[in-house]
Formats: sequence, structure tokens, C-alpha cells
Amino acid sequence: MMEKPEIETLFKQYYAPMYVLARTLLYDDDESRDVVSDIFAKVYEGDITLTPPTEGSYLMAAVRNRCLNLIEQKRTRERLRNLYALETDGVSTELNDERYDEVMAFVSNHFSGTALRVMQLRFVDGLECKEIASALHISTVAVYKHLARAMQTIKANIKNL
Amino acid sequence: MKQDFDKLFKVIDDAQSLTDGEIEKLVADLSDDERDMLNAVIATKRAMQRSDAQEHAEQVADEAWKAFSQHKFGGGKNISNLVPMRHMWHKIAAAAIAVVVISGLTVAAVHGNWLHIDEAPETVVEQEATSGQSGYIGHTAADTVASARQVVILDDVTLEELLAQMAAHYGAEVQFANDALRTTRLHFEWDKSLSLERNVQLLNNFSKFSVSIANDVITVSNPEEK
Repeated sequence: MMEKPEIETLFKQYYAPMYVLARTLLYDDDESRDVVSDIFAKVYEGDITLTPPTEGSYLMAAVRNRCLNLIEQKRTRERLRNLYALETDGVSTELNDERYDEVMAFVSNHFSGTALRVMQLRFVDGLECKEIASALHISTVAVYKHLARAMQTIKANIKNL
Repeated sequence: MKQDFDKLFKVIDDAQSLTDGEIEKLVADLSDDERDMLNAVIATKRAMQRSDAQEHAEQVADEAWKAFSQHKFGGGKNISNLVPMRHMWHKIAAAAIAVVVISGLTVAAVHGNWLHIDEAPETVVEQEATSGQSGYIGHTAADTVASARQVVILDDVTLEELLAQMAAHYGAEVQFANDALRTTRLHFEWDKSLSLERNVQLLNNFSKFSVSIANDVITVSNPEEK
């Protein structure tokens, strides 16, 4: 087992970016924390051996692989409803960090008011369109229109998305 | 050519009323254009999730370390409360879940956040009450005790079968104004902890029929008669 100072250093250096990666792929906060904490538990107990200077890349790869395995286990129904990747080959749907930042910067700069709120409720809070309509006191048709217009704008302005 | 995202989002939402087999076929039959749109939607969701996670990541890491170090080095915590869960749980607010699995029946989700249980051969009732402690290393939850939920997942069952089960459970009767509706197949998640009236409301989210309840009689009619 690792000594406390050693695992603490790794934890404080890598937990945050590992959590961000897990949330990017799994969306769910609890699941994401589980994945990352489980990996650190294995590192602490010696089930995973890290070799400097590649600890960071190994840990991030471990998170990514664990997340993709979890997504593969989800039923197609859930993957479609919650907008998980339908393929987990890592080719068709994953972007690098800079591309995610590019998309988010565009969203922040180009959408506001109801359109942005609809996107937040659908893509961050995971509400279904009927629930969004109820929460915002607008019609379901209006929710679909906001989402459709937002995605058309994003697709038109972010290349190869 | 302008891509029809409006239709895509409707397809995604409407798919929840389909059977598992129908959903598999729908996904397999997606055109290249539809897959392209879906991938763009997924990328956008990921970007927004990532941004949201970045805002909380340091706080999450601090919480995680406190719990981890207390468990591994601090002593005194019940290990069983801090073992990371390896299951695929949806985020649930309730602390207690009762699951009833009826042979040959699976129910589709009307709402997204249910634990999916595969078909089981015989009736099994399991009630788990937890204290509300999440049990995750690095994650603490306030102690809450929510009301028990009894969820039956029914996939690809006829409306007649579903309502027969409900009628027996709630002590009601079932009438079909249109016999053709008896064989309508659906996917439904029946929460038995909810009232019959509430479940009737949820069934009316389906567009293929209309359900009403009066004097303990469930009546099924054509949707235009709503």
C-alpha cells in the first residue's frame, strides 16, 4: 500500500482533471466520482502501479477506459435517451479538450435567455423536453424549436462537429 | 441541406414509448445524416457537462480527499459505508427502493431515472432501505429517508396485460371502448407507490390511446376522444 504523502500528492494533482473527464463522458456526478475514487483506491492498494513520469496519462486513460466500458454496458434505450455515444470506438464521437472548449465558448457567446436555459436543462440537468416545457412554462414545441435552432447554429459554425 | 434537428429531438423523446427491440432497430436504421446530427448533439452535451464539471472539480476533489484519507488513514468509519459502488445507478433522490419483477413483463421508462431490471422468472419483491449515506468514497450525501418506490419495468406488453395488473393491484376494473386497443404494445415503468390516478396521467403521455379513471373503472378509448 502507498504511504499517505504519496497518494495524497497524486490525488490532489489528478483527481480534478480525472473527475472532469469522467463527467464529460458519463454526465452523472455520482457515477463520475465512483469511477475516479475507485481508480485511486486501486492505486493505493497496489492493484494499479504507476510509473513516473507517466502517472498522469495513465490515470486519465484509466478513467476514459472505465467510462467507455460503463457506457457500453448501458442499454441502447438509455444511451439514446441520455445522449451517450452509440458507438464507443473513440473515433466517431470524442473530441479533444480544445474542441470541447471551442463548442462551449460558442454556446456561451451566442445563446442567452430561454434558448440557453433550454440547453442547460436538456444537456446539463438531463431533463426531458416535456419536463423543460413544464419548468419554463413554454410549449414542448417551443422547446424542440429552441434546441433545433441552437444545434443548427452550432453545426453551421463549428467545423467538423 | 438543412438538417432537421427538430425531428431528431422528437424521435429521441418518442423512442421512450417503443419496445427495446424497436429502439434497437431505430438506432440501427439511423441514416448517416441522422447519426451526424446525433453526434453533434452528443458533442454539445459533453462540452456543457465538461464546463459544468470544471466549475466544481476542485471542491469535488477536496471532498473526495477528505473522505478517502479518513477512510484509509483516519479510522473509525464503517468500511461498508465507503465502498465505491460499481453498479450503474441512476441518480435517485429516494433512499429506499422496492422492486417487484413480474414474469414476462418489462416496463418502459416514462421518466428517465429508474433502475433497469431485466426480466426475471417469478415474482420477487425486494425492499432495500438505506440510511441515505451514499457510500461513495469522496462523496457524502445528507441523510435523507425518502418514501419507498415500487417500480415494475414492463417491456413489449399489451395494454390489456398492463391494465389487468394495475386493476388487480388497485382494486379497479378495466373497460375498452375500442377492442383494437387491447393489443397495443408498449413499454412502461409502473411505479406502484403512485396512485392509480397518477399512473393514468402518465399513461396518457402515450399518443396511441386515451385512459381515464372514474369510480374505480379504468376506461381506454381512442386518443381523439381525450
